[in-house]
Amino acid sequence: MARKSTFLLLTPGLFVTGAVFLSPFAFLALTSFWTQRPNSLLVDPAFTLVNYVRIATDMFFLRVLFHTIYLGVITVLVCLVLGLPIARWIARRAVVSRGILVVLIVTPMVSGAVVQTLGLVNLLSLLGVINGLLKQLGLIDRSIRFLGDELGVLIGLVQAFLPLMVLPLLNTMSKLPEDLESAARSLGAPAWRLWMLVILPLSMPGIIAGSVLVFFASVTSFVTPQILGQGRIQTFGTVMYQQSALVNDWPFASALAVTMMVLLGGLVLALRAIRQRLARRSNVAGAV
Amino acid sequence: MTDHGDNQQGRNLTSAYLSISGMAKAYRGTPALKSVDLDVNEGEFVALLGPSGCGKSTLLRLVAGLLEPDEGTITLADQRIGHLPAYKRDIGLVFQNYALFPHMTVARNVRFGLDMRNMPRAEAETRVADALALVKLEHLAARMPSELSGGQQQRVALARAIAIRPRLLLLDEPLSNLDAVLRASVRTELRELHARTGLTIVMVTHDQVEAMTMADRIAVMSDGEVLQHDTPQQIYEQPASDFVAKFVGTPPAAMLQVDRKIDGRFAVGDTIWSPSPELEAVLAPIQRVAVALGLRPDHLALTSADAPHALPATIRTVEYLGAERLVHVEAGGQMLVIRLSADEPVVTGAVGVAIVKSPPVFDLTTGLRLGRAG
Amino acid sequence: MKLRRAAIDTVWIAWMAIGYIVVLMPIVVVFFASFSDGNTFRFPPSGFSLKWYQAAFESSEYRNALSVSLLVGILATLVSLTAGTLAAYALSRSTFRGKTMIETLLLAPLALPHIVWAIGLLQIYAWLSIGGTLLGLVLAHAALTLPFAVRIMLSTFSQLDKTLQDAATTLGASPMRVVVHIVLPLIWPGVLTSALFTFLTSFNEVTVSVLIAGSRYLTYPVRLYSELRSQGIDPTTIAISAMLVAMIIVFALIGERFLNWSRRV
Ligand SMILES: Nc1ncnc2c1ncn2[C@@H]1O[C@H](COP(=O)(O)OP(=O)(O)O)[C@@H](O)[C@H]1O
Ligand SMILES: [Mg+2]
Repeated sequence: MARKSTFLLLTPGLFVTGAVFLSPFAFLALTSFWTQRPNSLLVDPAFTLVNYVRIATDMFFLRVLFHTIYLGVITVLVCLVLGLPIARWIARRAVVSRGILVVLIVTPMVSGAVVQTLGLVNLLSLLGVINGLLKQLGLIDRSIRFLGDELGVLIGLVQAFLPLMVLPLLNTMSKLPEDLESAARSLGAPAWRLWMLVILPLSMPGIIAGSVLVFFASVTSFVTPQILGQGRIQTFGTVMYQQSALVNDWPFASALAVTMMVLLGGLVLALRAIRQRLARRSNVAGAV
Repeated sequence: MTDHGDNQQGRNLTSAYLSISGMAKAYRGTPALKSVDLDVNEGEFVALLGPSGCGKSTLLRLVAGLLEPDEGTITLADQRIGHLPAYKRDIGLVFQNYALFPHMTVARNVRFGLDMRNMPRAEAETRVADALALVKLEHLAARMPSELSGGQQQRVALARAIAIRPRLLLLDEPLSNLDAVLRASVRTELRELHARTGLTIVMVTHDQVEAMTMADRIAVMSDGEVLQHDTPQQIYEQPASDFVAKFVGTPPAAMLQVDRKIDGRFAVGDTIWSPSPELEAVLAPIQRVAVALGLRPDHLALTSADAPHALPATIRTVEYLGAERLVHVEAGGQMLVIRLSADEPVVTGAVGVAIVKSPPVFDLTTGLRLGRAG
Repeated sequence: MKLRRAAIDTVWIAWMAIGYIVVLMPIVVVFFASFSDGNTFRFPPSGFSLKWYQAAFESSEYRNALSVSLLVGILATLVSLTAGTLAAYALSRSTFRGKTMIETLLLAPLALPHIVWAIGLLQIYAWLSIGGTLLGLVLAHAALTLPFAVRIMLSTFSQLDKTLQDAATTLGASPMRVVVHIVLPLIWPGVLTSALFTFLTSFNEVTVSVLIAGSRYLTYPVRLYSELRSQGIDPTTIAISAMLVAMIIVFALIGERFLNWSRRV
């Protein structure tokens, strides 16, 4: 294709991505060094580090940061524990049911985040289905408080992001060579050793991809903690939202956003380094 | 074979039907074609023969207009076509993978080119029927391409290209995706089709047997250049370069490198050899250049080691082929192949190789044949 | 041995069921709740009625929000489908330096955090004074959904054999007619998939829309969000949500059945 028509065809896409998607990131980086005039909608476009100093020194924000990361890690772990058996079953055992099992797991992803939250609020409220069920079964006599509590937010995060774990897991686990497992089994390896020595190591790419997706999604999520946390659980997402839309301190919100980008970017680079080292090691192992 | 011979005689030989000159094309700086000249006469069946990657498909796509040349002109029926977009060239092209439109029936595929020419429906239907009849596929007109075998798909592609009555038909490796049995029969069918339609055909192939058996003339290509464009017989007997000699023929010609010692004697490897006087005349330029003889089995005969002018050799292996045997011998560290009929006895051990027919001699530095006019 | 195998399978399936229950429970509850005759859904259920569906069809407020969502979704789909299809075509049909970089660039929104983006976008919108406008909303949704369109169309074009276009050309089809007779008929499943996917993503989007939607253009998810944040749930929304989810699931099943969505996305 001629160079000129290639360029013309790419223009609309590059405009939308560049002007609408990428420019806000540049803008953030800029405004994060500005300050908001007190009690005003105007900003002071003078270079200063106060926003970052505030993030680094105010214990509130540091606590929120750590709490966000903590929630992210727990979400990843729970999703792994729930997701691995599902992915394994779909990959190995499900034949007829494969399509329906996959569709069921992705349904929440296509049917809208707020609707899910709506259902969760209904489920988790003091008079909701879960408390009702537990009482009927005689397991509790006073309702458990899920909403406005860490537990409720955690359930919401797992509910929303479990599909993000299952899909990459399913992708790698479907490709595991079956004869390798039968070979290990025929050598008398018990099931748990098969998992530790064969299945988990070979599924590592999927485990890492799924964990990264779930971690990113949960630390940047905002609707779930905001609604299920009912203002009592603060995460980086909710604080960013408050600082921008409610407090109207846009430069500070920008600084928070940039901080989050930098932390996530650092994580990506670290993971890439680890993956490269792992790949090199397995190459060496393969060569021996 | 019937009518195009007359065509050729009636032609004005100064300008060919298809004339390609100075055609050059590079992909991102890497040349794929380096100044190719090629003339094809009306009604002729020409094979472009060369190893994979030598630029055959590139040349075909340039002629069809699917690629723009960096340099060079194309003339078709005395008309420059370089400026015409591909869809106005009326050149049929059968692709190596057939490229049938998967969402159309066989009949719709064949009719596609006619629809593009806005041909009235009734006329188009007749043409489609004719074209399908020509490739003996009338009964499959309603099928989808995915319901056809490879050989049938190939014939649909052929019918589709023929239906537009192209001024030129280009075939890119038409037999390469067929199995061996089918290949032999399609070879004959293509020849018949050529005879019946009188179309001018340029066919690309990397298989020298295909080129030799099907084409009126062969253009041997290597590395983006046409090395020789001649009749199969000329290509076989008078190869223009060592590449052509080694590429064509079963088995291909063996290159026997001959040196001349300081005392004037000839040597093959370490073996001293006194060639016959005729051959000595041919080998005259040897002091100036390194030369090799292009020896085909029919240039050679087995004799005893001490026969006059024989090249001392050792038999290595004998291949039995039913009616004949191929004897592989080693002379001065180089391998030669000699053909024996099945009943001739094969001696073992030290033998002599006699050169019974004057072979072509090649300049090893340029690869070109020595003593060739022009 | 057989018994042990069966026991393991049972435990395994029970474990999987926990995952599926967690994931699907909210939707199931929304369905049941929409037929409740009380104000919320309780367990055990207190009765059955269709009154919330009736309320849903009578409420002009929700009809407004839904039509805004529909409008934004359709416009955003048109923009990102057009831009995405053209870009994917250029990327899959030509080679040039920096091609991988452009591809990465176009797919980048998939990997970058939307909340961070929204904070920056809102400031730019305020500066350009297009915050809260239809244009602002459509552009934002188009940017969000473009990478999906690009990705689906890239895989669609990679399955479209280039020699088919060449064959049509040598048979006399002008570039325009090649597109009409060969390219479009062969890529339409991909186009449809990418259109539906783009539309659904836009229709469901909330993180960014909450920040940039103004009062005039309030999409349905944003309305729902603010309701959940403040006054509590109006059962009417439950009925509407139930209908929407049902529609989406039917769409997804049709898409999977006829267009093999799970292989395309
Ligand atoms: N589209 C292309 N881009 C870059 N290089 C190409 C392209 N097509 C062909 N080539 C290169 O040009 C040379 C000639 O290719 P081609 O004409 O297809 O050879 P043949 O048909 O004789 O096998 C090869 O080295 C091939 O790698
Ligand atoms: Mg080729």
